[in-house]
Amino acid sequence: MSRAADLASDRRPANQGLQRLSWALASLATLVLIWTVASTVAQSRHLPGPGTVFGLVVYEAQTGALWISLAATLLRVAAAFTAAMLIGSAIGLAMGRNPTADKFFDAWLILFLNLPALVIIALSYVWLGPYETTAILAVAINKIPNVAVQMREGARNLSRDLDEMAAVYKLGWLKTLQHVTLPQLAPFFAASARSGLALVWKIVLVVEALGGHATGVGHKIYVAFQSFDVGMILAYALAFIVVIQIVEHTLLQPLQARLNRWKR
Amino acid sequence: MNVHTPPADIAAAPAVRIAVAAKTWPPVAGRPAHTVLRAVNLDIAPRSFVVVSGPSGCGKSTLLNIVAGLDRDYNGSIAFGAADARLSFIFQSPRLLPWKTVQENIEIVLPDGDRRRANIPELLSRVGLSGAQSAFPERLSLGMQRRVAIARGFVVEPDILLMDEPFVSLDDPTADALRTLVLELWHRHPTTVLFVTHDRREAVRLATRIIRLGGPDATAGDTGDNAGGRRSSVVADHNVTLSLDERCSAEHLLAEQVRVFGA
Repeated sequence: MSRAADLASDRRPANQGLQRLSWALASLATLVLIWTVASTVAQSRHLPGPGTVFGLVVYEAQTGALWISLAATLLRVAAAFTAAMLIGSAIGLAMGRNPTADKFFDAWLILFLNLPALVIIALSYVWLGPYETTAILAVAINKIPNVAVQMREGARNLSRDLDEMAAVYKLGWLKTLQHVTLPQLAPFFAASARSGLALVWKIVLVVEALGGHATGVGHKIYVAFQSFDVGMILAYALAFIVVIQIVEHTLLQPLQARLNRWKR
Repeated sequence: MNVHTPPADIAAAPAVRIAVAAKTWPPVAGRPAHTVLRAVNLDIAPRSFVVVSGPSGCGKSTLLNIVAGLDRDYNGSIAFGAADARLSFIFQSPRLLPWKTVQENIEIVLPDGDRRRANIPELLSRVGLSGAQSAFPERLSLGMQRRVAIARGFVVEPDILLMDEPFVSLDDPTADALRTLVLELWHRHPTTVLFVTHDRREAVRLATRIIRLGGPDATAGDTGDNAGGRRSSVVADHNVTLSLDERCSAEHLLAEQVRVFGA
């Protein structure tokens, strides 16, 4: 009885998280220190120190420009991310479940996996014009093949044993999908979502710069780059890294932990 | 008070009528097609505990999959006594949903209307899983997982309960405790059981009837389209009439084993 109850709970020690946090803080502090020393030695306006960059972040936040840019970019990230996850999952599942589709489209998948992001972006703007949807589509196309590959792996590994169990006990297609099939795909979905976010936000910045959009973090960095304003480039980059880390830790990691909570 | 006694012809109707004319595996990777089952005709009486035994590869599990409706690629027919017969299958591996707790794994096979009626806590305590209802299966031992699978098999109150070597890869005491558990549950909820095993002692320990599958060996000059196949059919059919006490006595089991399988 007590053994079973122990098995049911099982919590990680709380200080493990604290320990990880202190390691991260120590390593970041070291990085800031190296940065300070380097900028002091260099004495160049091309390498401003952490204080200067932090001041710029505060200044941009006060004028409101930071928030407007962050919001514009985050919206593009969200739209492109959602589109890539949906379309990529659909393609991956179809290929994982249907051997003929898999054989036929495999070559396409390899082609798109190896197509440089720059080529996809350039062609999108040439063919579709400088619109908002072009930006989102260009980013999504860059990510779709990765999602498709991971979801195909998940679909290929669906358990026939559990399918048979569901069939014998007559669970019906809806219960089978909800409780048998989707939970098997969830870890693959979560993994591709996490790697997807990291890829998508980087490409969104490139698209914003190359596509001549008048808003967004990518636009700000592009403008700063034209006047070699390294301080501003770093200010916006750091602000966006912080935002993405918040999304990662408050949304994606808890989601993944919840999906995997049954694992030993 | 004879009202509840059904007419003789209905009482005699089998719970399952198995008529497998032939089950042939298609050719795979250079191996020719081969017939694994031929002319397997069996009437399974209601509430009997029928053990299907035979050497490995003789098609026991295949027969069970055919009865379960998981394998429809065969010649012949399976007819159930009740038109909407409820089936349970306790598989060789527990086949639990690892992302569901013990209780959820049992509940999920119940039709939505039956969930409240089924007394799951009582069932769990009877299979020795009280206190583990909110554990995830992967944190349990294999023996405990098997108990969950047994509870799941019984909770739907099946008309037909299929079991495919459900106690393999357990140590002897654990396996024997589970055999006792299955017998107890079967006495409490009488149902028709089809149980596959190659373990002769297990067969006589559980069965009210033992069916042995077997056939001409591939090495015995078999040629033509069946080279390599066993073409199993029923080679022996015994009733076992041991009492519950006798089933726990090694002496009785051994004597029965000799009677059914030979020395």
